[in-house]
Amino acid sequence: MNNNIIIKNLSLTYGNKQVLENINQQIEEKKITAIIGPSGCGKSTLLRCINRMNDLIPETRVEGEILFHEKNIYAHDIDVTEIRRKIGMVFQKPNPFPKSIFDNVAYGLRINGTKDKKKVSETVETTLHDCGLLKEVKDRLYTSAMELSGGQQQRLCIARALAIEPEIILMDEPCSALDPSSTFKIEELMMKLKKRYTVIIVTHNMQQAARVSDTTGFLYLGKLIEYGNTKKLFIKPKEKLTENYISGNFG
Amino acid sequence: MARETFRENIKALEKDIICEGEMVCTAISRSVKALKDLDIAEAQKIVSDDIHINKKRWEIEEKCINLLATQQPVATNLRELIAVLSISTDLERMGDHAEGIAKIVIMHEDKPLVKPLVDIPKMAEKASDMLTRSLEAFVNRDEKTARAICDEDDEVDLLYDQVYRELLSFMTENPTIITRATYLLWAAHNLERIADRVTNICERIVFLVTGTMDEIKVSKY
Repeated sequence: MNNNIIIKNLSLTYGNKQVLENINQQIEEKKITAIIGPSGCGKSTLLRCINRMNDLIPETRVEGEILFHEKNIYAHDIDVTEIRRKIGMVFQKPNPFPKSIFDNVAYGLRINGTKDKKKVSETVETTLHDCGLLKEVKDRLYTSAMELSGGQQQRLCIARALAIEPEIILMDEPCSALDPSSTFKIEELMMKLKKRYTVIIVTHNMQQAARVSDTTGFLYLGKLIEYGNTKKLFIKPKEKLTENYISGNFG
Repeated sequence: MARETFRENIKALEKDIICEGEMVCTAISRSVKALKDLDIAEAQKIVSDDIHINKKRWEIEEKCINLLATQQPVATNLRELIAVLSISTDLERMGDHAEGIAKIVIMHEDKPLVKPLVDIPKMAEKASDMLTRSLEAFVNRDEKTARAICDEDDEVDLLYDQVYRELLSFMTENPTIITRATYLLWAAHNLERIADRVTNICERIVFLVTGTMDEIKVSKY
């Protein structure tokens, strides 16, 4: 098993509130890992720890380590911008920039210094194709991204994240604002993405975790209660608490 | 507790399984009694009554499909529905075995049995007892009892061996009874298969409790 993210004894507090408690988790490379759990259990916080998005929240204290290629991303000499480039993120609500479809995807490339127009153009096209969006938008690449449907906007945001060739994609409830058809398109996209990327998804939708992920972690009150093979977890979970949650008996 | 309606639906399915099991037990005892008495009218009724067991099985299957399609069961609930689907199918097939015995009665026409039945009723009694207790184990989620019942299949196999040897010696002594002796062999085989299907039910109970799919008892025949 290749792990490109290893979370060791990770705890996080916001002010006096402990949100994550001693999380230990190894994320498998080129697999989809789902994190499930009831509202407020810390799943989005855990996800945001992985590319240090929580740094932006005042009074946040992180203890423990997250190893990315064996190096602690919380070490003092780490370039956080570089970490966020390699570990991209897609959010719950599609958040395209108020720019053209082309410029949304090209944005990351340009701010990372790619000046070659041909290269930018090729990357935009390939990435949109990989996200199953090219056919739908090829005739209107220079119109505003805000005119796309919610599902298309979310795929555009994924394309934007992929354009700068990250290694890991973090997805924070990427389908919660989408209709079933758009949701299935994103799920299909995730299955394709895992051939090249490691995907970590936080989802409220347990069926989605069961459908798409290889490994699932159940988080409850900031603790990782159970973590393992998705099929096993949904057929015969080891912990009673997991059983009760996934069976809809609480949460 | 959340999902009470769903829990009630699963409990109702358990009752349906018990009901189908009782129908099968009745069919087994009726068919063996009809064989003992060579009661053709009763045998014909048993054959036509098999449709009720088949209908019960379809009814259970439809309820399971509806719950699978609409409730997205996982973990214990998922294993419960899979167990119900599988047990219901095994019960329906046991009903077919009982029907098979009834058909053997009809095939005798007006000819007598080649010998009075001794071991065949014993096989029927043992298989029915195993069936009843396996369904109790299902309701009680009793893995230990399920495993123990599987071991009892050997007793039915031994009786079948005995019937086989006895009928073979009869056929050797008197070739004119070969056809009717073979009928009785088929009847015994139906009962042996019923006991085998009880072990399938027990394997489903083990799966339901442990999540492990395993063949506990490999059939001798």
